[in-house]
Amino acid sequence: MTLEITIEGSDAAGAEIVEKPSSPDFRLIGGPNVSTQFRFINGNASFTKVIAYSFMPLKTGRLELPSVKIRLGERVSGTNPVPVEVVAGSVAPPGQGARSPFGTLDPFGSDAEAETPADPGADLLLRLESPVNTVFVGQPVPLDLVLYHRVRIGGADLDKEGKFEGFWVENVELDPRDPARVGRREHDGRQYNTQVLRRWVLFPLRSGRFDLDPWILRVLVETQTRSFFGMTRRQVVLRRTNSIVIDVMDFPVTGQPTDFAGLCGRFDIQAELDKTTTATGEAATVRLTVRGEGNLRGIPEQKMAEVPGCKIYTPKISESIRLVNGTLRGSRTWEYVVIPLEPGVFEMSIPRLVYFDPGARTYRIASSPALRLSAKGERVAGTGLGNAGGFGMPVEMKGRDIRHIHSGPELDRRPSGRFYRRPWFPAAFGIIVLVTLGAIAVDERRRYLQRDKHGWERSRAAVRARRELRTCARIGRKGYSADLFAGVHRLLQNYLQARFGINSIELTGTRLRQVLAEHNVSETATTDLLGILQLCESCRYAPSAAPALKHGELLGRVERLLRVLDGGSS
Amino acid sequence: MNRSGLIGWLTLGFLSMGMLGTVHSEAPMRAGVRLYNNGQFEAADQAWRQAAKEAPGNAELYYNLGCNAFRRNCLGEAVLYFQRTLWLNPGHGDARHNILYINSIQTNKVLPNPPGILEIIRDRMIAWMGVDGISGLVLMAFTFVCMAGWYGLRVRHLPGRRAALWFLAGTLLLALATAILFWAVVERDSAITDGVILARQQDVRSGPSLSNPVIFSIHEGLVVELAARTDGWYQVVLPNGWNGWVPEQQLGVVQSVELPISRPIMKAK
Repeated sequence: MTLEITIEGSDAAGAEIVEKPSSPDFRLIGGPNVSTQFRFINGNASFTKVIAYSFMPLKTGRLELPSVKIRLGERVSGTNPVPVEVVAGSVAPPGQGARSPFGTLDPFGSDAEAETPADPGADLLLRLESPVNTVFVGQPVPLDLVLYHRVRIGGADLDKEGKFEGFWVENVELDPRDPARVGRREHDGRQYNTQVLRRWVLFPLRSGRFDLDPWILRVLVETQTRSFFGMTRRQVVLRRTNSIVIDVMDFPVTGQPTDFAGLCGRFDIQAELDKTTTATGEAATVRLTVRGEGNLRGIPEQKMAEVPGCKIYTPKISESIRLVNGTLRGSRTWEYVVIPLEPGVFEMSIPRLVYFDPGARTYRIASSPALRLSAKGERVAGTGLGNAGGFGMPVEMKGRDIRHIHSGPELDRRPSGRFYRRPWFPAAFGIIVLVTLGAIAVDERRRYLQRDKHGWERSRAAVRARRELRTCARIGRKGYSADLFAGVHRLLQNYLQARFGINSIELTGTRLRQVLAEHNVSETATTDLLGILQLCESCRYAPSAAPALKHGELLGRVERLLRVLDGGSS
Repeated sequence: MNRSGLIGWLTLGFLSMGMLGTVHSEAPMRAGVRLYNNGQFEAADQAWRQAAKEAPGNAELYYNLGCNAFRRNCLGEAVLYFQRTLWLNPGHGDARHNILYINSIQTNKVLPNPPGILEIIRDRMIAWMGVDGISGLVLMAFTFVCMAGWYGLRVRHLPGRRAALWFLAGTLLLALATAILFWAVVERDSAITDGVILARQQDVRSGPSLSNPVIFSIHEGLVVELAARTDGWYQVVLPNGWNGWVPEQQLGVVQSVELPISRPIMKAK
């Protein structure tokens, strides 16, 4: 009996058997027979891998076919054991020939295969096709593996893959949604349905005549039987590709530049600097891009010539290459970091690219003008000329240690304790509070007094009088003079006006006595005041008539008087 | 002996006395630097200890003592001195570097808990302005508040009183922030919170006496939090939360200016 394990899916082709199945009830007599199906139904492609083992039961009864472990990618999974009822002497006769791996697809296979199968012949062809047969070394050769059929196809899998000796092969991923894969073509005057199975672009590596290896495909052909039920008969046939010869020519010797490196195609080179002016020691980037079509991956590394005074680093390479119309198109980019080590203008020549143009059958040179980089600033210390600078050397830690002791002037400092721990720190807060309260109190008092103008002037009278008294004292240092007596007279007048509201016009003895009495000023003080006023009045015009007064006596009397008048107020 | 010979001898004698006088009068800080650079770490330790007694708040002195302790292979002492340097000057980058380096080679790999954002702000401010600068700032802020209050009272009946009130409010906020910062600085200065294990290996007991069982062991240089003190024992809390009791002579208090007992020079492990 045969145990078939069918794996379907996009990654079914990668399925592997982990270990051979074994059971004490069965002897493994064949397998594993592996077949891979590439199926396309209604334009949708899928892969199916079928693994078949042949077992012979060793005893009768209810037995189980062993589990088979399969690895799919990273995952290992096992099949379920299949129960089998083995009875003695009733084994069905085996079918004719080898069982097709596609047999399980047809539940009525025994009926369908009863008729003699017929090879579809020229109705089914497998072809390798290329639009070009003669190329130069390195010139791309598009190649398709195409199945031509005029019969119904149930599936196909590769039996033998051919090798493309002498070529570097680029596989082209076929897009299942690409309508161009499936179509109709004419071959030998007959119309066929076609299906592109594989696509490559070959790049010849050397000259010569190359007969490409054949590819062999196993195809499941489905044909309608003539039975009453209109059953489908399935048949596996082998198809081998046609012979295809590619002539690869060597490059012409005539006119071949000495620096030609075997590049074939059409290319253009472009170079640019990200900035034209920089500072010494600061990096600029040279971007060198080769665009075109042909064997872009074969372009040798573009090496910038050394520039004295500049450090040029190993480039970073990036590429954007895709297959378009049977050839490679895109670009490769080299990015060089350039650091000028000294001031000046540096000219960086761009390497030229020599290639062979197969269309024009001639050699061509792609080049770009030199780039100029201007650097300003000081020469970078510790670096020499050319690329012998110290840049690019990674700093490596060779050992670790604590940092060294400090021996600066701060070592000699003798900290005198925290500020806030000193007694004057809280005292300063107290002083600030007191000063603020004092200022507020003064303000409040002034505001209170300013409400009553007379009261304000009255309170200020003594202050003003003492100020004027000091002025008089300065005058009196030179001796008794008219100015002194005039000053004292004015002082007393102003005081009396401010303190008691007596105008200078009404400053008579009677009036003065009356007002002072109202303010409880003693008679003695009143008399003294009147005496001083009379003295000043008479002496301000005739100072020589002044009585013999000791130095400062007059001012002393005035001061005492002011004190009495202030204290005597109500 | 003729006269010129006598003068020569006298001159030489004076010069010698002068030089001797210079050597003797060399400040211990400078003497420590010279001895350290000559590799005389024991003598440098003595010199700097003397200097630390004379100038107990000098962060640079503790830093040098820490470097010297490291050279003497006393990692616990070294960490204590470097921590003390940071206590006095939180912006001391070299002390921080050396602590990190010692952490990488010391036995206990208990990582310290990362500081909170307020602690970071506080330490940055101290590093920037210094404790005295913050004290001055508080005084200034208080003066401003008083002035703003006085001005506000003065203009309370005038049209410009609204602006004065805003000024007063702003000043009060500023003063409040300054006061909080100042409180944090004073708290940091006065609280005894951290200790450094000085013993090569120290058993930590479950209680403050030798009769209590050992619950775990720690090694020199480990910075621990000091939770309590009683009868010559400190209750220590590790950054991972473990706690126990350690004799006080086996650890050094970071927030202090007392110098631990210096151990003789040890050979590298």
